[in-house]
Amino acid sequence: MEQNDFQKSLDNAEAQMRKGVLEYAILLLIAKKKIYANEIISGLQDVHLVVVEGTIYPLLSRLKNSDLLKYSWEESKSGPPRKYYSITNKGQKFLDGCDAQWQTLEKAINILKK
Amino acid sequence: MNKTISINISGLSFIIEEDAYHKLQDYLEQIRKHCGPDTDAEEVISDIESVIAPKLRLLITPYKDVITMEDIDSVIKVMGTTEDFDREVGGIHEENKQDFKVKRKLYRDSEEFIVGGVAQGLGMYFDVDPVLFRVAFVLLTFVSGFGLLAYLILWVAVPEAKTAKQKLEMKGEAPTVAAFEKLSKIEKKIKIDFKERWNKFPAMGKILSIPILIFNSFLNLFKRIISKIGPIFKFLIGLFFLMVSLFFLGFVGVGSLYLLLQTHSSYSFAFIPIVELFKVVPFFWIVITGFLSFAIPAVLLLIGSLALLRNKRFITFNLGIILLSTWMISGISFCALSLRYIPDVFFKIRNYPDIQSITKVVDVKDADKIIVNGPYFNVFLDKNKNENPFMEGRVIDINSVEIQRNDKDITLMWQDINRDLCFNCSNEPVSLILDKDSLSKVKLENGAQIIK
Repeated sequence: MEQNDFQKSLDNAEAQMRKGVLEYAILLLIAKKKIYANEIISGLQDVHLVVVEGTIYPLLSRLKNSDLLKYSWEESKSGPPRKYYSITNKGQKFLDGCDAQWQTLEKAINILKK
Repeated sequence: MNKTISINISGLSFIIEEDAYHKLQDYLEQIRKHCGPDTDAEEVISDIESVIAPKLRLLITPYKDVITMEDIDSVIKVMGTTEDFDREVGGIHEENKQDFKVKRKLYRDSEEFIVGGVAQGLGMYFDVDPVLFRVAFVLLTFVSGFGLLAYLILWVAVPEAKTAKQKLEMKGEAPTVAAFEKLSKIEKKIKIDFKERWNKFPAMGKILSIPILIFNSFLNLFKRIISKIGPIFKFLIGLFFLMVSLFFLGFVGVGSLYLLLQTHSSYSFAFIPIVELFKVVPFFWIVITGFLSFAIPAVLLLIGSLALLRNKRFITFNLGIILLSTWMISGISFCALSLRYIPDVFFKIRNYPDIQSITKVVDVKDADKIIVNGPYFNVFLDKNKNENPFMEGRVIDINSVEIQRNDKDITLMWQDINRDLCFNCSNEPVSLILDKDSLSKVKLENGAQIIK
């Protein structure tokens, strides 16, 4: 029972830390170049930020609705047209804000760890 | 053999088994619900469909061109459930999920039932104990037959919850993937257990165990019949005790209230009004302790029968202690009060003026005929040579005798004094004592008799 509670609070802490990180990571990928959903997924899976493939679709829709990213349909050689995502000006500003915040956090934790 | 349907996902056509189709539909529906107000759900669904479609296409081979449940499961595993999404995004949506109410639908429950699962289904639908409906059906059946009719109509009209989705709708649970898996795990576990045990058997053992298997299946059948009949039997016993306890409780309660509210002079027990008894004994305390001594066992019976009906615990320890000690205190007080005051009550009743024995002279000198009318007269020959004929009896009985004179006839007639609500008022015969001369003039009517 105690073990269970411990696991719960650990999960909770993990959830709190993860909050917002995935959006940040998606914006980082999109800011580099025009990219389609499968590339985003494999990029995130490579660094073990996501396991399942469905997670990013609601996020992409939300980021698009907040004008942080946009997409365009482009033909592909091997199949149906794909949605290519790219970052907006607003998105770039948002990303800069996230970068600054992340650096602050990283610095703080690194100092505390020493 | 499974029914298939043909569908179009994101521009690709598929032949899919019906239950697999429902699973896919439920999965997409969950994602739709998962999307918040700031997310375009339709867009997400079409994105997801456009990813799912090529994945499903890869699962089709020349030898298998139908999408099955396993295919859908494997795709959902790759795509992830909304629970997975939550975990990866770092959202804690679990609390929101539980608030998420699904509109219940009325089904008959085929898993927990006594007759047809109608009451169980109604209980689930209204989120109350199904016992209420069972009792209502039985009572209404006894009262007018309406209950049986209503039950039969509902039995026919309400569908049985067969699929997992229907079972969840009946319970008002959200059709999450987790909830589905919980249901199917319970079903599968039973089958797998048996299969595993069977596969471990050596071949010879399998042959040898055939008689045991046959016996076992008979035993299982018997067990199933018992488990079907058992609840009915338990239910009927519970209902019987429920009725008995309610009736007894009502009787004791109404009786006690009646006694407590007696303030006018009433002849409920004897020819002595209750108000007179009030003065002799601590009436109030006798009634209260008497009420508790009889009502508490009735309440215990009531709780017991409810426990039997609802398959719940009988009573909590604390409540039991309180009831038991109250019962003992009131019971002892009641007995003590009764023992102390019953002689007083009897004394009071015996010495009440109305029921003392008196004599009353009857003038019959001039009469030619003495008509004695009524069953409460005993006519005696006067052996002591008294001067006048007379009546002898209790005041209350003598007062009931009306003497009518008509020319030379005298009629002694019994007049009932009207006493309402008297449980124990009985008249006693009046003795009429006459000399030999008068006795010869007597004419008896309506049950009066001469005693020699």
